[in-house]
Amino acid sequence: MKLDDLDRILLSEKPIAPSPSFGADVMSRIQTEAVPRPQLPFPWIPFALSLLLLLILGAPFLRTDPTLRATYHLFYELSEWVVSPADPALRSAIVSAFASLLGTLILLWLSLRLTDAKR
Amino acid sequence: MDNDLDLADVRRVLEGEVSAFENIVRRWQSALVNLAFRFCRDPQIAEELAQDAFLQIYRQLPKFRGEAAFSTWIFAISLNLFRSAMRRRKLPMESIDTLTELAGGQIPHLQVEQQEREDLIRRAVAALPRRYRDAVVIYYFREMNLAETAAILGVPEGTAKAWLHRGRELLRRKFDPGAVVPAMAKEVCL
Repeated sequence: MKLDDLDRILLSEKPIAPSPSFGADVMSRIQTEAVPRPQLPFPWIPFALSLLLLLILGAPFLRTDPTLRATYHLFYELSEWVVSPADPALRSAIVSAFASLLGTLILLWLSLRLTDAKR
Repeated sequence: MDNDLDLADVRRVLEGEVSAFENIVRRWQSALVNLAFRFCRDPQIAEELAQDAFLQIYRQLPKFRGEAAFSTWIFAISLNLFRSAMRRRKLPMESIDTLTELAGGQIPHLQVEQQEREDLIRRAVAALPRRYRDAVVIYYFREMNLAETAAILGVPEGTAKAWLHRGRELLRRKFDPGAVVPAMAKEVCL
């Protein structure tokens, strides 16, 4: 086969015709897409209830689990720190914890924004 | 001319007149279904892919800046979508070597009808390595317009030309009867 033959074969492909309902099907999908959907609110109530439940269920473990006890102590120290002058090491630990929390919140906010943008 | 009509419809859609998109669909449905067909070689899948492409075009309409022709823009969007769909659906099902065998290897004129062989060559385009396939499909779909092919592929003209060359070479090597060793051809004839 010469290159010209290849050109001829690839140029001479018989076109296929879209089915008669093709345009209507596309427009039906477009119309569905165009209808603005109500924004999903963040489920604050289930979130708060779950958090509360987690704290209640997790309370007994705070006494037994050393890791959790350390966490408990951290929060205890935090409350102490709030009312009294803090030492620099504890202050930096708390700043890191707050930075992590802030990062999580930013990620959550970005996820919600991106979900909105896709609609 | 068509570009002006498209731009007017794009403006209307962006102003909230969704029904104006129907004009765009009517003008481009045949082109997108046929382009999809050249990738998947199945009319039903081609329609599904073209529908998805129109939906994607509608979603991305606010991003259309008019820097390229509307046709170039919609073909570029469709190409990206078809590529992903091909990967997701694991298409094509047949490899280029299988098609070469079906075409009778390098002595096709002895075994299959010319029409059938031409069809196998067209199917083989869809089985080329991804970059070569895209370049060959778009180039012939846009009637050998290299500049537009490069714009749709989103690469410089030189790159598109190289991919096209390699894709054509691969097809030529696989299906070229001229590559048959004369003695072998003779043996088969006997």
